[in-house]
Amino acid sequence: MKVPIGYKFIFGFIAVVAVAAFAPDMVEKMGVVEWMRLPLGFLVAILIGLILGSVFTKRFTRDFSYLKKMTEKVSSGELDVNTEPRLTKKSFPDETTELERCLLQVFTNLRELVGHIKNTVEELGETQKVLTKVISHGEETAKQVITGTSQIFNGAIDQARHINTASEKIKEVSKLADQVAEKTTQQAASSQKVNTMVQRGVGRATSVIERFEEIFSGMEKMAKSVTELKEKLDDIPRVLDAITHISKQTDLLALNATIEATKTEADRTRFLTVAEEFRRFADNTSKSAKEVEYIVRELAKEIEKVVIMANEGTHSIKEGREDIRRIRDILDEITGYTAEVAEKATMVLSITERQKATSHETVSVIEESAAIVERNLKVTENVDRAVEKHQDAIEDTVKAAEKLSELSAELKNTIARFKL
Amino acid sequence: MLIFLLDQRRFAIDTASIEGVMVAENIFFLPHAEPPVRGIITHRTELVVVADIKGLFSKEESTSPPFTIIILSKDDRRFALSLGDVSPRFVDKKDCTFLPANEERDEYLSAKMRYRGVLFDVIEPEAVYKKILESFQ
Repeated sequence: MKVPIGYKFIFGFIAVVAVAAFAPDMVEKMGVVEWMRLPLGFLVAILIGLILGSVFTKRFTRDFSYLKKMTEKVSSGELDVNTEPRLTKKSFPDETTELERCLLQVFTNLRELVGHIKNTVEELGETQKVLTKVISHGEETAKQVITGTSQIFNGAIDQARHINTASEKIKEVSKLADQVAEKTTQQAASSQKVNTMVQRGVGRATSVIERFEEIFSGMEKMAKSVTELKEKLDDIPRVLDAITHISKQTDLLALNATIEATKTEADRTRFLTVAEEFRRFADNTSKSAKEVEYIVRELAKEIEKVVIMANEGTHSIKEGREDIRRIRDILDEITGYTAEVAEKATMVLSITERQKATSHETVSVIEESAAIVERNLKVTENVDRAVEKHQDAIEDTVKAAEKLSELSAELKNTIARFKL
Repeated sequence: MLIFLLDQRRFAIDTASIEGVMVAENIFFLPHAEPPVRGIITHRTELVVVADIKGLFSKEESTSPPFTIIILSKDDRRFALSLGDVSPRFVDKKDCTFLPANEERDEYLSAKMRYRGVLFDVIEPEAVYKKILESFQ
């Protein structure tokens, strides 16, 4: 049965007063002298009042002390108290019993709350560690990304510059290809002209070779005639010898006639004249024969030279024929070669035309690439800025994580005061 | 006169003792004959002894044919003088001036002769004939 504290206090007061009221009678019964009875009664009454008051007060304050201690434990964070209610076992529960129940409920709730907070703080700490690690990793990654994006940006700038340079070079190459195509066209035309001229030249050369053949044949005939002439000329000395012999015989005859004339007295002068004429005739014949012999000898020398020259000429003709044969072969090779050159020049022209078209296409592609690179550069610039912002965000996150870490530590310290 | 040049010497022979001049391709060897006799030839089907003029005036002999040979006659005896390859020439006696021979003349020479300012030794045929005869003894 619940008895409020006020009633209990009143009941105690009444009990003390009643006992104090019976104190003088008790002293009187004890046989104490008269004059002592009143003070002693008062003294006994006060004493009894003090004892009972003390007992009652102790009974009253003991529960409050108990509650006070529990409250102090709450305030000091000691939540590891026994939650088994003690005051409910009292015979007459009062407000302290409910207060204890409420306090125990507070204890229980607070312990659960603190335990939950503690767990949460621990998890928060673990999470904080992971978060810090992740943020650190993220920061490093962000730095790497920044470095990478910077490099990409720089690379993109270099790429754009190189692409522009390449574009200029390709344009120059395209111009060169145009010039090469023009020159190749001219060269192909020249090759065709050369081929035509070579064909014409080969025709002329063949005609010249045929004429040379005729000349060679004529020279061979002439050499043969000269050889025959030399053979015939070799006969002349024999004739001259005969003439000389006749001349000598005539001279001898004249001499003998002269000698005979000197011995003849009659017509001596006429004999001598005839003999002299004979001798002159023989002398003239001899002189003529000698002149003819000299002329024939000189002629033979010249003919010998001509024969030698003819023989050399024959040898030269053989070599010349061989040379002409080689020239024919060379002309055939030249004809084939020029035809091949003309064909190859035409092929080169075709290839150069294709190269020219490809060069123009390459210029277009390079220009498109340059535009793409320019766009990529801008995009990379934006990415770089975004990454820088991301880096700022990560720095803010790092700061927030540090703050969160600090708060977590503080909360942990705070929670640490609670003993569960 | 017949004149001829032999080894830088000029000689002359009187045509009075000459029967003729001929050219022989060969002079036939004559046994036991000594220089200046060279051999024999046939002249008008008659054998004629030939003396080499070089053998008379030097020790050399003409060797290569043809030989120019002067046929000489002395008292119906014929003999010949080989000039080698030298050809003689006729000059008129009227154009020649004869000079007296000096004491130290060659035994085969009879006199000296001037023709157109040039001196010639005149050969004595008889001396030559004697020499030929001596060569057979």
